[in-house]
Amino acid sequence: MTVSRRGMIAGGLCGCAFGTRAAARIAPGAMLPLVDAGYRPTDADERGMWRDCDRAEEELAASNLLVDAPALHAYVSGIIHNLLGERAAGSRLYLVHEPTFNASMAPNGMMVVHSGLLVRVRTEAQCAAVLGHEAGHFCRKHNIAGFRNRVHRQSAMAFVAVGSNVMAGATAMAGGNGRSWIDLANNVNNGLFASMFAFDRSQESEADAYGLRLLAEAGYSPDAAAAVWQQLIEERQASAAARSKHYRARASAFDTHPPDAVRMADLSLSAREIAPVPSPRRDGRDEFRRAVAPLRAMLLDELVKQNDPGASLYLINAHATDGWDGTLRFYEGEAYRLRDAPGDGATAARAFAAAVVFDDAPPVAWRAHGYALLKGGHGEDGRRALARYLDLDPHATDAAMVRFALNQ
Amino acid sequence: MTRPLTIVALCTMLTACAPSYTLVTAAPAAVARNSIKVSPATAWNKAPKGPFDIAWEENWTANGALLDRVTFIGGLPDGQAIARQRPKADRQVPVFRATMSPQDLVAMVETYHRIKDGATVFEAQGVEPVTFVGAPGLRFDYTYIGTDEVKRRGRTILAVSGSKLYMMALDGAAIHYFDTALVDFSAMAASARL
Repeated sequence: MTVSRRGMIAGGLCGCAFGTRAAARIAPGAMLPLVDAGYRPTDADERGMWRDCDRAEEELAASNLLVDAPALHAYVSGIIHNLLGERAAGSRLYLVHEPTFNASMAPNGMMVVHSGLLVRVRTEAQCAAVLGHEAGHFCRKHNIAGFRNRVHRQSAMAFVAVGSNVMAGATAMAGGNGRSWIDLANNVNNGLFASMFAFDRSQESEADAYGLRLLAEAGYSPDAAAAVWQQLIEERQASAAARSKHYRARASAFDTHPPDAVRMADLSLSAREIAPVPSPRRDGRDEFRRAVAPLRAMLLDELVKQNDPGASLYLINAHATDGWDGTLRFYEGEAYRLRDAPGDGATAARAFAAAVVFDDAPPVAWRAHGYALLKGGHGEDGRRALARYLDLDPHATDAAMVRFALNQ
Repeated sequence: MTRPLTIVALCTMLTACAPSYTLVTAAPAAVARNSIKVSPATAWNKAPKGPFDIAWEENWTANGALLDRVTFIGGLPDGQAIARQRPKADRQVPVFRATMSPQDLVAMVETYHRIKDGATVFEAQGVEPVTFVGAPGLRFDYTYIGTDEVKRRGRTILAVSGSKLYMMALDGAAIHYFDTALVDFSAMAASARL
């Protein structure tokens, strides 16, 4: 097998957060960890997988997609430590610029967290829920088990194919019809192929359950996992609706990326099993908000510039349940400006006007407000807003262009 | 005798399947449906249409599109996007509007690179007023890192004339290729006319 840096960032190798549909619910208390502090690979397959991961990690460590935020890195590393305890000593965290909702943990301890995850969760507990799921894959050694499962099933499929051809040939030589052997082999191999996906889903269920256990043991509310899952489903529903598409919670035997209401229900059931009565546990809302604050505008910018307006506006409104501020209002306006549906210009203009009322409004909110006023025929007010933008950020990259507009 | 003929036939078929680049000599040329006239000082290669290319677009390269690429878009009407995209795609490049402000035009270019080039890191370096194809326009300089993790620099020069978009863009690897192509690109942009 090979492991690529892009594969790591895409979360392809190491199981991605909520990546495949989970199978039947597994009780959180029914599993033991297979990895302890200082764990090293035990056989040739596992050593080979670790070597591949080590090579990919060397490249990732030098990637120009890494987020340069030492304080946030230390904070997220702390969450991993809360979840894994002494086992966290063998983990290394990489925050990468990637606007999708994902994270992954490799068997050698490399944890990759996307910037798209950080913009979607709103509390430390929710962040821990996703990292706990990945740590669940790590603690239960799912990567090596998945690799062996695929090898065994592919070997079986090859054996069935060769055997059926031999039997078909023998049958034909005896004057019979060998086609039935080929049909039988195809049916068997289809079942084996589908069973690979079933195995993946079983691992997802394990990671869900084990992640919940880690979450609870670290003092977080196990309900946070279902909350993240619920939000992801709603985000995807909003994204589909904005493009006039039907949201489908797929559930076929070959699914790879289906959000699933059943899985959310399983997470809730498991949470009740761990904590029969919801009790006050660490939420970490304020801590998370403070840790992400220096990068919040950048994270929102990455999100909104994808111009997936249903998803962007859903998430902005979700953040706004903690209160509107200038940055959120500005990016709300940006989402409407980029969507550019009938009436969006006016909606964006109102959002920009609301943004600049807040003390924390970024300078670019004044620029957006100014251009919106100019478009609306309010030349004097527009020029005043653009001048305010230049006052706040005289060295802005587009200062020359704005000065040119002011002089028109 | 049959074998050489088979080889020739196979070669012909393979040639027919390969993308067809054509040489652009260092001489005045009309590009993008003959909408913009430019005078390259060096030879370029006209690239075949890519999956995101639109009808109003033409692309040139000197060393391969991954290393350097000049894009011409000429006469794009109001309501059309600068990239081909499915109407129901989740992520979409905003369509061009003749009433777009400079920040709208800049956002349109940035969104193109974020969605079509997979840029997850994109930094604006400067936006300056310029005259392009005889109309007031802007020059947008930026850097970005796409899905291949190569750091690239870009310069887009555009103007709206007669409610249509006219645009030239240079994208190249930040190491060596962008600077090398920039000289001829800048000269072409300065002398471009309708």
